Amino acid sequence: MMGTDMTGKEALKNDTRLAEIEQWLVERSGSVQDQQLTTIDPDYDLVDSGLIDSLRLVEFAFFLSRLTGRRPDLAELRLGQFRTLRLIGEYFLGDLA
Amino acid sequence: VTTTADLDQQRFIEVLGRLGRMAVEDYYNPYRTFDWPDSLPVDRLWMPRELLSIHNTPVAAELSEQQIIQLSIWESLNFYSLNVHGIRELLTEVVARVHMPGFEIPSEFLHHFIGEENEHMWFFAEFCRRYGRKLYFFPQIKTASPGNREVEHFLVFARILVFEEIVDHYNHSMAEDASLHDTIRQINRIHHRDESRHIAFGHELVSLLYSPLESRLNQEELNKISAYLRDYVDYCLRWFYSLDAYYDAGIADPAAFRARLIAEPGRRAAEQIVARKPLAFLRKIGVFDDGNGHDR
Repeated sequence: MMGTDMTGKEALKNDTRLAEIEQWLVERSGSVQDQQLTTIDPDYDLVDSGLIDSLRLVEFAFFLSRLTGRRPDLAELRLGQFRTLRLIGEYFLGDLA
Repeated sequence: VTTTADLDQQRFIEVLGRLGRMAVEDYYNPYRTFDWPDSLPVDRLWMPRELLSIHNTPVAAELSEQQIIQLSIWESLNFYSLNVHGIRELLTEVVARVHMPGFEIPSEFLHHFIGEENEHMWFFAEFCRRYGRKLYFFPQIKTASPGNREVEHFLVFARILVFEEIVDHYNHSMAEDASLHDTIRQINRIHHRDESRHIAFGHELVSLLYSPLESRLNQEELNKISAYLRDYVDYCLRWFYSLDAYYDAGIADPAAFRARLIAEPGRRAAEQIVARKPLAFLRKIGVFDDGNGHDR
C-alpha cells in the first residue's frame, strides 16, 4: 500500500490467500457437516466442528504449501495450529510463518 | 468385563488355529533372510510403472525416462516409509488390545501379528536407510472420537485391514515383476506372504466386530462409520502422491505437480484398482452401500 504502513494484521486481513483457504474449507464442509457452509467466521472452531481432523490435516497442509510455496514439515504439524482461520493466517501467512 | 463382540464363534476359532499354525511353520529370521547389496542400480525402475502416481495420466509422457526412474526410486522410498509408519501406528493399537478383556480369543494370534509386524517394520526401515538414507515422515492419525468402545475397536481393525490390503496390492505387484531388482522383489514377496495371513484374520475379525454394530446402531451412526472409512481410504490413497518424493525426484514445483496428478481423471481408475479389495470387503459386510449410495 503506497504511502501507508500496513500493520501485520491488516495485511493478513487483505491477504487473498486467506479467502482461498476459506473457500477450500467451505467446499469440504458439506461432506462433514449437516449443512454446507457458505462463509466461515475467522474464529469458528475448525477442529471441534470436524472441518479439520487428523485425516484432513495433511491434505490441508499440502494445500497451504501450494499457497505459500513452502514445503510443509509434517513432523511439526499440530491440530492446534489449524483451530481457526485467524490462527491459520497468523501461523502460515503472517509474521509467525 | 466389556466384550467387544461375540468372538466365541467356531469358524473364527478354527481360522485363528489355522493361521496360528501357518505363522509358526512360516516363521523366519528376518535379520538373516535378506540379501542387502551395498547399493541398488539407479538406471532402472524400483517400482513398476503402473504403480507410479503418474500412471494413467498425460504426465507419464511428459517426463523423460530418467525422471521416471528417479520418481520410481523416491516413490518406492515413500511406499516403504509409509509401511514403517503405518505399522508403527497399527502396532500401537494392537498392543493396547492384545490382553484387553474381550480379546481373549484372538490374543494368541495377535502375538504372532505383533511379532511379524515388528519385523516388517524393521526390514522396510532398513531398506529406506540403506538405499534412501532417510525415512519419510507420516503423522499419526486419531480415530474419530465416537465415544463408543465397540465402534472404536471396529474402526481400528477396519483401518488396519484397509491399510494392509492397499499395501498388499503394491507388494504383490512388485513381488511378481521380474524386471525389478531381486532385493526389491524379495522384501515385497515376504511381506505379501505374511500379510495374507493378517488379511485373512482381519476379514474374520472385522466382520465379527461390525455385525453387532449393524443391529445396535441407528442409521445416522452407521453413516458416520462409513463416512469415516471412506475418508480413511481416500487418506491412504493420497499418500501415494508424495510431495517428499516429488521434491527428491527433482520435479519442478512439486506442490502443483501433486495437485495436478490428484486432479487427473485417469487417477480415479488407478485408485480403484489399488483399493478394489478393501472396498469390496467393506461392501460385502455392509459398511458401504452396494448400490449407488457412495462414490466408492
